[in-house]
Amino acid sequence: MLHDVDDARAQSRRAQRRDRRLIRALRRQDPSAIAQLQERHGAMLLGYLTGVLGDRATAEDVLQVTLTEVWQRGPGYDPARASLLTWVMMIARSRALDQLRRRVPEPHDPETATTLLDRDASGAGTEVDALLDRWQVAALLTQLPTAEAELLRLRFYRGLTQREIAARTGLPLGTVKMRMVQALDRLRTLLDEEAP
Amino acid sequence: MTDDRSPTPDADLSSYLLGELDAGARARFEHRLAEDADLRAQVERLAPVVTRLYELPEQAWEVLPPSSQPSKAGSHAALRSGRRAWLPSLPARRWVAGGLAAVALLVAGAGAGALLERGRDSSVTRGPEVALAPFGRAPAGASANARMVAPNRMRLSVEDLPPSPAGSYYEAWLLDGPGRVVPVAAFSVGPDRRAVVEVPLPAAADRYRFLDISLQHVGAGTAHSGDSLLRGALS
Repeated sequence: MLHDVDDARAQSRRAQRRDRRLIRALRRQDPSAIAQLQERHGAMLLGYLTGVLGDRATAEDVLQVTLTEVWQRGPGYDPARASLLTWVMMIARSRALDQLRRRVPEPHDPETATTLLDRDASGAGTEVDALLDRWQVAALLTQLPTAEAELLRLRFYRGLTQREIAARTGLPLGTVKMRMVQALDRLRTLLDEEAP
Repeated sequence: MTDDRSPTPDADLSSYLLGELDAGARARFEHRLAEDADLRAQVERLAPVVTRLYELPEQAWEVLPPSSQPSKAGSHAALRSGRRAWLPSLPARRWVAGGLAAVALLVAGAGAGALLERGRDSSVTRGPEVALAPFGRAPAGASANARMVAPNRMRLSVEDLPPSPAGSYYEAWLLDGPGRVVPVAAFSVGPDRRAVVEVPLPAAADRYRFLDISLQHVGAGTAHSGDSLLRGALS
């Protein structure tokens, strides 16, 4: 168990170092910053934007615009006001809303246009924010130690019970349960840190 | 199958939160919950997390980066050891990062000269060429051409554009009407009034109808300025 705790702490320290490096790179508009950002949060951002816009190609376009804006605004980023993840996701949200507003009068593809288009502006905003919240949780999962993130995946995505997880992984049931609580607790801490 | 025989409160806690206790075990746990403020606080702290995990879109689990998405074999090893099973690799849409890194390089001015020089010296000239003609207030002699030099990679050569004014830069865009405008590269032009840039393109670049070059202003936002100087049809 102590070994697990040490590993989790080491992973957490590595993640924090990566974030600090990324923030420094963004602040000085280092050319590598975008690649780092893409590697760290790109998949989540694309998932969120695809969910909001209902169209992967458009989401890719908006992702590119988002990353460009993040890079351009990097020198002004203030970690005291919001975490990097929150800041980046808020920019993605704004660009997604821009895209939705632009699209409302003339949806390109009624088959793939999301139901957001059928609502008024505030309704769409609410829906966009609900998705933002969910994808923020998803992004935070990437900050968990791998073993804990995988445990949550097996439970909440694969739908396995803790006993089934124990059988499948060969871990003692008690360890699975202990680690489940640790994972939930760590995720809660991350959520609290992200809260405005 | 219930987990009510677990010896520690923490073990019962996870089973309770996940709804894995049978009725009897659940009643016993709730009795304890009523009497134990610390345990109650733990439930109150973690229950919303469980709810939010249940609400996650399936796609969110599917796009988790590899560091959190080990293979089946690796997955169990990671769980057993508590260590990372995979090293992270770049997601499929690597071009976005590559393209924007190039944008960053040019806007920052760092190493731009080297990149431009490398473009001039390269002898790769395959693929169809797109000619860009003056548009808006561009000087009459200004021109540009773009040529694919590799799959999803374009070389853009600009001639006779005014040197980038202080606080401004040029930006290349893919256009498909007012609703679809995507930046692909930013660059500066020196006193020789020329620039050569190699640009990674989006995978679906063929969906766009025009290649456009605009004059942009630092700090004025990331949207197209509306000040287009060169434009060519993509066919």
